[in-house]
Amino acid sequence: MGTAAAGDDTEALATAGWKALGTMVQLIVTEPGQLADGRRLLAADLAAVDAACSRFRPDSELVALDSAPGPVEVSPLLAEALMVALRAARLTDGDVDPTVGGAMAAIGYDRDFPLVPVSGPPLTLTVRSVPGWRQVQFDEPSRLLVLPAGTRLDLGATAKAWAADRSAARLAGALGCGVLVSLGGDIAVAGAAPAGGWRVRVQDMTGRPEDPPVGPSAVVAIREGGLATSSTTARRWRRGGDVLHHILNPRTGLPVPACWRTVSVAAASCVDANTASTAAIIRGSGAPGWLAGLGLPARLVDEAGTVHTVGGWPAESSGT
Amino acid sequence: MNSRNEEARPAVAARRRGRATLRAATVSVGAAGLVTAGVVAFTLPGATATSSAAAAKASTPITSKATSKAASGSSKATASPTASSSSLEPSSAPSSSSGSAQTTSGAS
Repeated sequence: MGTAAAGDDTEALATAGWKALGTMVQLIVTEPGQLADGRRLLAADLAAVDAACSRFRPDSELVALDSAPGPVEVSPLLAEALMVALRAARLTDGDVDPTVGGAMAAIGYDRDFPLVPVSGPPLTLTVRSVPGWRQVQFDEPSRLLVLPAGTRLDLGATAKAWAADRSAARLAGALGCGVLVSLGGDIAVAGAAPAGGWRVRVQDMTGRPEDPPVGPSAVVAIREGGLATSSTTARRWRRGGDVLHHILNPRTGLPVPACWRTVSVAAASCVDANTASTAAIIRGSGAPGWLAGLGLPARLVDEAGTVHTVGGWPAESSGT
Repeated sequence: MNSRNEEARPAVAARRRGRATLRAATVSVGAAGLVTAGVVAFTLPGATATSSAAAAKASTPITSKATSKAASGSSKATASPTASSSSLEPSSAPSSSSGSAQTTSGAS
């Protein structure tokens, strides 16, 4: 944790970084004196989200659903995460589907990613549609959930982004300053932005801003909402001759074929940005038109490294 | 019907009972509830209530086996504003910046 002021900033920003939810956490505040309190609040928020939503913790509330025989009353926190996930499924016509948990485990992603063996023996990959979000029965007022037998939920496509939104808003209110929360590159901002906005470098893989990017990158500034990037270049592993990654097509239960290596989207919230960026990877060649139709500013990088922008995202020269 | 199907009958019946009870509860929610496509019964805040004919006839009160463990430090019961909106919501477009980045966004 430390206080950092970028070279051309006229105001000091304080930043802290650590790991949680199996990913890198970054907190930036516009009032350095608020950093310690902000970190404490954010760490508590993320611990609660992890206990409710982790697919990899045997004691999580989500994992307990796997063996629940009937209607289960879930906690308010998991209820909110579920509603966000189901909304994402509905708004993407099922491209972002929370019932991919079983399919994800079947291709080898069944533990925190650093523990997934980079290579292994061949897998028999079976094309099989996931159970589908439409089979999930959830009653919001009673928070009762019924899952079809054998259905395993994976909230990974939305939970981090939703957690970033939730905590950014809470911290900005509690601290009375501008706040940026990044959970593995899923970025939410709240409160008054610094002069010039929050400067974010979009790239294939989330990393430290002081390190050089790998692959095409661009620096943009946002003042509100969220920004998220999805990519097939991260979380990859090999089984036999097959290279696998973590973005599945729910209609096949298999990793989506390569079209876009990386998609970044800005939206009114981080979870909307992440929902759109993930769906764009799955939609392939239809993604630019879909994003433009929604009015979502987006940057898409194809397999050759050529950059495409839509929705008012600043144009850039390819390969920068 | 073969013996495998015979064995599956109790499980299928139990699942149907579960669905019926959940449908009933969802219908009782009124304007806050949403039932879609017959077998689907999830709710989103602010959604308009619709229901299938089967759901409208159901009247059995819902029962819960309530096996969950509440997460520590759980949130308020209210959903985030995002959960209630009916479309992916755009923001103002990012602006190009020549300054050094304060953070990065990529896959992780």
